[in-house]
Amino acid sequence: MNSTKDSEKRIEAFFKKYILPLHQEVKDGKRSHFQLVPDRTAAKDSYFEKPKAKELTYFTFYEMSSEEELKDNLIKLWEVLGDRQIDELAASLAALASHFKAKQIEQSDELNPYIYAMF
Amino acid sequence: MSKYILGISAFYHDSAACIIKDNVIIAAAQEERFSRKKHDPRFPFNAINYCLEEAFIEPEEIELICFYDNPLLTWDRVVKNAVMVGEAGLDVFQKALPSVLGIKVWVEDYVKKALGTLNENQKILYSGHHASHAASAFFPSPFKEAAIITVDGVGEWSTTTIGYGNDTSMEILSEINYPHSLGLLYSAFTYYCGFRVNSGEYKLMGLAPYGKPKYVDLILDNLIDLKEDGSYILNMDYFGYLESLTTTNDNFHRLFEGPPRQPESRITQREMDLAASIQRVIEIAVIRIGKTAQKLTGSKNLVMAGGVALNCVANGKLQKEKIFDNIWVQPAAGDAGGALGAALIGAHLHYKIPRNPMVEKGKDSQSGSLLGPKFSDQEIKAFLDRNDYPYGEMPDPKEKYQVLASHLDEGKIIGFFAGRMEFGPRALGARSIIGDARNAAMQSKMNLKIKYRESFRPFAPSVLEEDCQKYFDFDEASPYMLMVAPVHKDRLKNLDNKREETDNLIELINEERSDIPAVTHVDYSARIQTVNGEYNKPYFDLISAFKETTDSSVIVNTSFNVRGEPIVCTPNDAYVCLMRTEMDILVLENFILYKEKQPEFIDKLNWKDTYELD
Repeated sequence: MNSTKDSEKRIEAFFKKYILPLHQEVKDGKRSHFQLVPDRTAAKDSYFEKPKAKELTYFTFYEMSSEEELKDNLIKLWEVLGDRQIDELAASLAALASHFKAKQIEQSDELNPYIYAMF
Repeated sequence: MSKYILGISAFYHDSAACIIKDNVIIAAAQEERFSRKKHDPRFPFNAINYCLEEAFIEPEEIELICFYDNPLLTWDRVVKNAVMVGEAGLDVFQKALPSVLGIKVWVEDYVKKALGTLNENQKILYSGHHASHAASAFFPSPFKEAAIITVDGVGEWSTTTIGYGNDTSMEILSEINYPHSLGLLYSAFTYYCGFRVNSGEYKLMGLAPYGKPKYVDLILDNLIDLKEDGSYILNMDYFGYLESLTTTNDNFHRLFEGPPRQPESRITQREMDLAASIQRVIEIAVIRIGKTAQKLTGSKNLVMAGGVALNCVANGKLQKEKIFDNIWVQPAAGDAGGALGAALIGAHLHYKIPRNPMVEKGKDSQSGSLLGPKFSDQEIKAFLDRNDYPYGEMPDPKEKYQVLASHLDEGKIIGFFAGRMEFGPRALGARSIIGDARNAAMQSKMNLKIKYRESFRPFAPSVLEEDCQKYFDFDEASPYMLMVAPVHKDRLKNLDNKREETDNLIELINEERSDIPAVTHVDYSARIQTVNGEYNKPYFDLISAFKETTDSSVIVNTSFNVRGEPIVCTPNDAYVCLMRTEMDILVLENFILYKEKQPEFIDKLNWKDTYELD
């Protein structure tokens, strides 16, 4: 298996194992991370929100040069955000990050002409 | 002991670096200027090197490294976006993850590579993306306290924030989060109208005055629920970016009754009307957000940053509303300015260093945004001699500016290269192509023979600050070309022309609308740069000499580059640009080069292919 295929398989496996079950919760109405459509019937005057966490809003110090540090930082992040229930993703995501780091991916100097660069 | 703080922005749009010494901005530059790749998103190794050279320090003398956003929060967004979308999002997830996980989270590795190493005392501070924008707007501003608005596509989760800055403190009070975004909404129309997202937004703004805002209600009824306080939610049924790599989807195309315009195809009335409509919606939103910001903070001053703050038409409308007495917009309002904001967060929020003393005088500390490399006469002479390029020397400034003023009066187009390069997307007279604003053929000539870009795109005037009100209905300073205002009514022509709805852009463009036609846009507006001797003496002296010669104190100023190319940085970049275009004259500090006297230029690159159309 070539390395690109291997990476795609890893991401797909992660997606199926962790993302799809969480998405099922979205479908079941048990989870939502953002509103998808306006509710124009609601008597809501404002969509403004208060910032969620002060330390994430202004600045924070991380040490992030190893898989272990990444995992710990992710767990802390989700603790601050009140998302402890997705902690189990941290180890797998950190492992994926380590995998891609080892592949020494070079960033393209091009921006996608069709979508605002946001990932 | 002084603290040197390095600010870095990277990986998304315009990567950049900046270095500050306590509360003084020593240097700042975008990576694209060195790599020659427009909007270069890669880690800014070259810009960091430049900043260290300019500060004349070794890497180990840096006290703190500040990165302009929090990659873990972006990670969090990517994961939760996938959770919301499910199966449909696998493709985007597969494309995003290698880049997000393999590159963007390993900032520390990149910093070590750039600096050689990090010693045990050197830490990396990760600032919030919108906090970086907010800091870049407030801390260098001339205000002791101010309301702060940031609006962009998205940074981590936030897309719009309202905050308040006072002395060395800053607080974000309210925000709107992804996927709801005015920047992404504007980008959706940019794409739909056939322009490149991430760079074509400025074109859409330039196209808007040619159209009628006939789709405003359609947009407000279907795409965005905009509240009276300026807060909003997009209807994601019409956008593709949650689960695909295009901004709009079929519902969007059905709503506007057609597919997106193909890039480079003919621009029709439909695109003009779409541009006018989304521009109007953005203006309504920005004004409402401004009112809320004033209400929340009670301040008479406003500062702004984020990519949407580069929408100088909206800025001009906001200014005209007089919600605030004073408005200051960070000249590097996009992601490049995040490097500066991050460093200033390090200085003021982390180290509690006092503000720059300029604020006591009511002046900004951005130094005219002339924060990039400068080249000495010795360096330029060596470059010219080494290459055997014919040149003249003009050591006497008065004589130099008189000669240049005469050439402008003759209709010549001049590449003007003087002093430190600008930080931010606008050329402000340090790396500018200039011409006579009174010349009716100038806009078309500059667009088609110099810039090789669409003929509808307007040019900006540089005007002596003291004469601004003679030419424009605008009574403020606008040194960073971030405000659009009407041309003074006494200067307008052909006001009675009845404009039928027409697809013929050329007909509209060639209409002479004022006695400064080259800078008068189709709606009789202009994107003004006011020039004074304090910020940019050479440029001020040049325009003053033009005024002495012609009695006109307005010239055309456009960035020193061709379409798709970053603004020139070095004398060599400038020379190559001279030879690739029909520019007449190049001025490199005290040296003048006439195109007609130059040897045949053998271009090593097929540059029209090298620089992708923007």
